[in-house]
Amino acid sequence: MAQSLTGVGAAPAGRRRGSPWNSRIARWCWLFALPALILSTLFSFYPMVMSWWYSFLDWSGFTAKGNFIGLNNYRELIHDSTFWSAFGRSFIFMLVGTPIQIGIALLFAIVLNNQVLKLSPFFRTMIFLPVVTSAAIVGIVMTVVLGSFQGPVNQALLDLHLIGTPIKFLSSPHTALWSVLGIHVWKNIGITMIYWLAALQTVPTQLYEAAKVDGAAGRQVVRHITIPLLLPFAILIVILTAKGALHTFSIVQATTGGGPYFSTEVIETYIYQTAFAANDTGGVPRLGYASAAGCFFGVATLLIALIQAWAVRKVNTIRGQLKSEAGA
Amino acid sequence: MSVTNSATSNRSGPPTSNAAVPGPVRARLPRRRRHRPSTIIRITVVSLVLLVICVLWIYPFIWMVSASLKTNADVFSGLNPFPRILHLENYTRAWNQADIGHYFLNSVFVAAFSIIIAVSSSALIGYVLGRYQFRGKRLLIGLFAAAIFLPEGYTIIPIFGLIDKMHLTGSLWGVTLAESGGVHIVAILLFAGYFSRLPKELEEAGRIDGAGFLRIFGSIYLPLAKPVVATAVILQFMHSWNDFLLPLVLTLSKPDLRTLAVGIYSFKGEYATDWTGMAAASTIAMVPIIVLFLFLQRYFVESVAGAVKN
Amino acid sequence: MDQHESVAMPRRHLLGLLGGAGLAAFLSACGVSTKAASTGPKVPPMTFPHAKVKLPSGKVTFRWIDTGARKALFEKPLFAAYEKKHPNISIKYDGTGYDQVNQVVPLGMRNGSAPDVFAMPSNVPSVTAVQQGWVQPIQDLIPDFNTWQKAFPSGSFRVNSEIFNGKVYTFPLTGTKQVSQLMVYDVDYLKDAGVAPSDLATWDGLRQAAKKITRKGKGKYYGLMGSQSNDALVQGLANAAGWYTVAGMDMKTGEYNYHADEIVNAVELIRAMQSDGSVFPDSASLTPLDAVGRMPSRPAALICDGPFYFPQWDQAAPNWRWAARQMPGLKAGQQYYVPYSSAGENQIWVYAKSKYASVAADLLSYIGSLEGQTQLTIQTQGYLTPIMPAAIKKARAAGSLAPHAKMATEISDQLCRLEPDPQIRNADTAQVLTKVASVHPSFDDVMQGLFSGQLKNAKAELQQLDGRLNKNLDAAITKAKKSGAKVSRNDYVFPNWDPSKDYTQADYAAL
Repeated sequence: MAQSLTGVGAAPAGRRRGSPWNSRIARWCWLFALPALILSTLFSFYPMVMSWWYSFLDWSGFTAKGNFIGLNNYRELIHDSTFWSAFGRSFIFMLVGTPIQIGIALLFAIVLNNQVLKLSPFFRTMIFLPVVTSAAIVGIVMTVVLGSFQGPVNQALLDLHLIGTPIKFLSSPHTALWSVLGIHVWKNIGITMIYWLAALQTVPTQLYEAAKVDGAAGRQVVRHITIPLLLPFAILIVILTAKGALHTFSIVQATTGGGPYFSTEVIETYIYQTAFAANDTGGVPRLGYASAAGCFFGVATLLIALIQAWAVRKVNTIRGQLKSEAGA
Repeated sequence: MSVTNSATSNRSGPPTSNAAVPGPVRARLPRRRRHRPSTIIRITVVSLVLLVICVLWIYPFIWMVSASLKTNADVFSGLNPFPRILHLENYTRAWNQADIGHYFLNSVFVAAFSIIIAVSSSALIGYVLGRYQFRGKRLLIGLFAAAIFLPEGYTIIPIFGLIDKMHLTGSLWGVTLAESGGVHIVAILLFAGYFSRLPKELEEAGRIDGAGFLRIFGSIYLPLAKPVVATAVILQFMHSWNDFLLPLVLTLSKPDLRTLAVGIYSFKGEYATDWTGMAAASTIAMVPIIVLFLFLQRYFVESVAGAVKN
Repeated sequence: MDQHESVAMPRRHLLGLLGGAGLAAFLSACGVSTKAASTGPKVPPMTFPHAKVKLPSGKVTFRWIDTGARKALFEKPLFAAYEKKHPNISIKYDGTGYDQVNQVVPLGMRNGSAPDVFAMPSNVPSVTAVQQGWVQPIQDLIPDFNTWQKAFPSGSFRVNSEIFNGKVYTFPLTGTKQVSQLMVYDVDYLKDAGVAPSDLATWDGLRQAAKKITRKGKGKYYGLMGSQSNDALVQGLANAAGWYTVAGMDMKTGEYNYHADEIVNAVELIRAMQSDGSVFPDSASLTPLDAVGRMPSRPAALICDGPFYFPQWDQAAPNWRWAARQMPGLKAGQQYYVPYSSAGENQIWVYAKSKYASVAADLLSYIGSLEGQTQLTIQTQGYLTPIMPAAIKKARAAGSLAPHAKMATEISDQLCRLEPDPQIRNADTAQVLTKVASVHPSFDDVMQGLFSGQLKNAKAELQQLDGRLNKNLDAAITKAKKSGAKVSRNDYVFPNWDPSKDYTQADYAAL
């Protein structure tokens, strides 16, 4: 995974002339890595380690100290059916949402990377706008837009005779999850589009020129030139987008609050409920238990990501072999 | 040495060297000549289709702007986004209640410095991770890649404790530091991925010219990474501009140091059903991000291809 | 040239984009307004009396955080008056709801930067806060404390709620003698559909009225506004039909009683109204707050709600004509009762490490005086119920209650009866509160499931809910016992409770 991530294979290799340069390089490398390493250690790794520690505590989060209870939180967790349903829904978000988001964003990026299209800066901004619109606002607007009371989507579907009665997009347990997923994808495509745009800049324009001279049609250019060159970057974009699909708290909270009756509850809302919210019957928050849920889920996704990365690497190796055979 | 055109000189004025002018600019002239009627028709059709998509796409945004100009009694009545009377008082209410005038500069401070810290540190590490082999590199990459999937959990309690130990609570530097530490793992991976895609011939040319490690980075590679720098700046800006819980608790003892998002959030909480004021406040908060995006987006399409040829 | 163009481009698009939406609106609009339609409640200005304590003389920023809403109506003018009286003191007020209080205050208390005065987070038991040493007794702060305390009605200060280790730590800002479920109706919609407000006296009348209104509305508006869980509506209807509990517990037996027939029937009634088509179709995607917020644009004629957001309605839609009455019951004219607690609510706490405890003392001693309580009623136009009944009388005599506040107060006076309180009987029950685990799914969740069709059998689901609640309470009692509290489930049983009468000291004595 590490290799495919940063394309170590593509990094300059012929560095064995003089060892002074080499050792200097190593020193520079660590010097360059240092600031980020310090920042991440303090503000990412340390808090992460702490949340692992919390997951072994019976702790409300506000008293000075919690009680160490070992693996009890985890033991309780694996018997909690609400957790597993939320777990499953988060995975649906990731597995279904990520490819759609990446595909549409790539389409937008390719079209809007075109210099001939004079209005593309304008369109790019439009596509990006939902990213910066606050989730609270999106939540309110979506209950109106997807509603059955004067909701434009239902109105259009009714007028086209595609449906007989209005669809309760957000309030029916059968459609709510998919509606929220759609809203999430729509809201975040702009970010993925930017990733793609950055990736596209590494594709030399001369290749396009050459292809045009050859008379290759646009679609073929994309297929034979753009996509192969983008592939290594694509893996990174998949990872970043998949991570985004797990951070859906604000949008779920703003549109359905996890309802109706848990049908849109994802890991993050589940954690929030157990960690902070005191429900109508009172009850003390359980930060330790919530941390256990977060850690457990994190490890599960990491494992799946590793398996995925391993598979991709396998495919790449095989492709590489095929290519070198063809070259020879 | 034609490629050693620094990022700053590129931004402050017209570049002196042709080679560093990115591909699209040079490519435009010949292309313009080549526009055939069929191309123009195709572009017009694509533009029209995109226009329709975009209008639908940003409907919630239009709704928000229009809601910010209505009265609370009219917000939900009808789908016509254009109110008969523009109620600008929503903006004055939001502005005053959320103390926007007061908190704006704090937000600018936090955003500016956290961008400098986060983006430059990510660019540095991303560069070496993407381009060099050195001992411990695999470990670093593994660490960052794992971090992206491991849960952030309740980072707020440890981060709060940490800033407290550094005696930076109640200071904008504390907020800035905490905000810089937030999202930059994404930026690191983007930089690493991007730098690894850049051609190595540039470095070799640079070394032949006698450029050292630092100069090769600062003058050759970094200027080529503008698309990622722009992306990282926007991500970091959105993060530090919108985050409210961390700035709020870190400035509890000094309310004067609050950021804009904190003011707006307080406003929303206090007037839970004041939709129009909320829409106005959200609109105000969005403007700087949109402006930044508009100004940065030309860097998204600065192809590196032009430099490669040289 | 190219360079120039690429710079100019964004600027043009910026103008286009930001201007576009605004400009289109400007062009289509007939006018521009920069003044609020309603200038807010017309209330007399407040002045703050001379300080009886020694205040700091330097520049002071005093910090106060609570949950805002109706309290802000009083606290904002109060703080303005205070700042006017003491120009060197500025008060930073945050009234932002429990979500934020719950997250911010505990963090602040952990590292010593909590606001000087705060509302206790709803998920932190006050016993814990005292044990952790986060708060300080007001007994030592407020001048002439004993006289001050005597002005409060009996029952305002309870052991382990306001009094800890023999010291008074806090006091309730407001009373709870307030009905939180009222039937709110749109006067004009009712008239147009030929429905009299008195038709809303019964469940059946409600159903027929909603049908008629919906028919008249022709898709432009509906009969009843619901919400995701309809929990207030269900409990209000059940209460009016004779379901008497304290937070779901039947105090006669000390057992949770959500599975009572009244609740089940109320669920059935709402389901029937849903299939009549007379409930606002998007109700199920609205939180109670969203539903309340929609009302000023008049999408429905009826909604069940307490007076919590009435002031915001008054302000948002001064021309909208609406009124409130008691909830529909089974039979017209049948009186029902609403249990309320002698303990007030909205307790105010002073942070243990506050540098300006004297400012807190000055403010708190005023808020807890008859004059302060009267101002609380006047400034909120009666939307906030003072803890001192005498304050309501004074405010009413001054004729300063808003019409809708008056409606709510009159109904409350008629229906509210004091409830039995386990904590008055045995202060150790407060320890139990710190141990109760929250239930999943909760009443709210079960209601959502029943109305969305994911749960079918109301009776069975509610029975299970009661089972969970009873189990959690028993577990908490066991835990509390282990840590030394002398409690038992019997402390929750009041066989002599008559919901139609106030539960008095004599009743406690007779137990």
